[in-house]
Amino acid sequence: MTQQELAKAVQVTSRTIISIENGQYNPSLMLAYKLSLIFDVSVEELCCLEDNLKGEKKGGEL
Amino acid sequence: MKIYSKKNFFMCLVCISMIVVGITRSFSRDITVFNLLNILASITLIGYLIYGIKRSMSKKDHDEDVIEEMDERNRYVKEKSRQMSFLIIENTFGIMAITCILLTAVFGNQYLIISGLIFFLLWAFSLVVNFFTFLYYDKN
Repeated sequence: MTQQELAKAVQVTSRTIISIENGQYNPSLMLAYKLSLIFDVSVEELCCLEDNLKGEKKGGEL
Repeated sequence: MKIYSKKNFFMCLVCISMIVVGITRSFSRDITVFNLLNILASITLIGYLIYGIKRSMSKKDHDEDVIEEMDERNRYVKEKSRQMSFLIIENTFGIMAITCILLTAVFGNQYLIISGLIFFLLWAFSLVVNFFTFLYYDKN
């Protein structure tokens, strides 16, 4: 699936998809949900929420 | 032939008719360099507006425009840029007001007092607007 096709499927511009991929933009909950439906994964997995939480906790300890 | 974006289509038509009236008025006056430049700019603008009309009649282009408008990142960028431009303007008014007051103390020029007062009022106005918009969004 190309970035254009994905962008069309979730009704955003391809620039938004590129920004999400590069970690420059955090998608809204609804967009994250749409993406998770397309890739057939959970939102937690898609956004690596568990890893991010661990990272935040580690950052807080330091 | 179907018009997908009626708003854009009619806006372009109104603008084109206004420009055509402007061009005909320019021709009725003496031909000067300013008039010629005006006509040239108007013709360029008409070309752009015709492109707008063409876009409003194409389903694909219309869909693209809707996605561009509704895209959450675009909206976020727009909001952030507006916020930053407001902040810059607000701070500029404040800095200019203080600078004018300081210069008045040094040179004692009455025009500096007036301009300082104007900048101070604009700064105060932007602060008041900021305060009320904050109250509104805090409530809703």
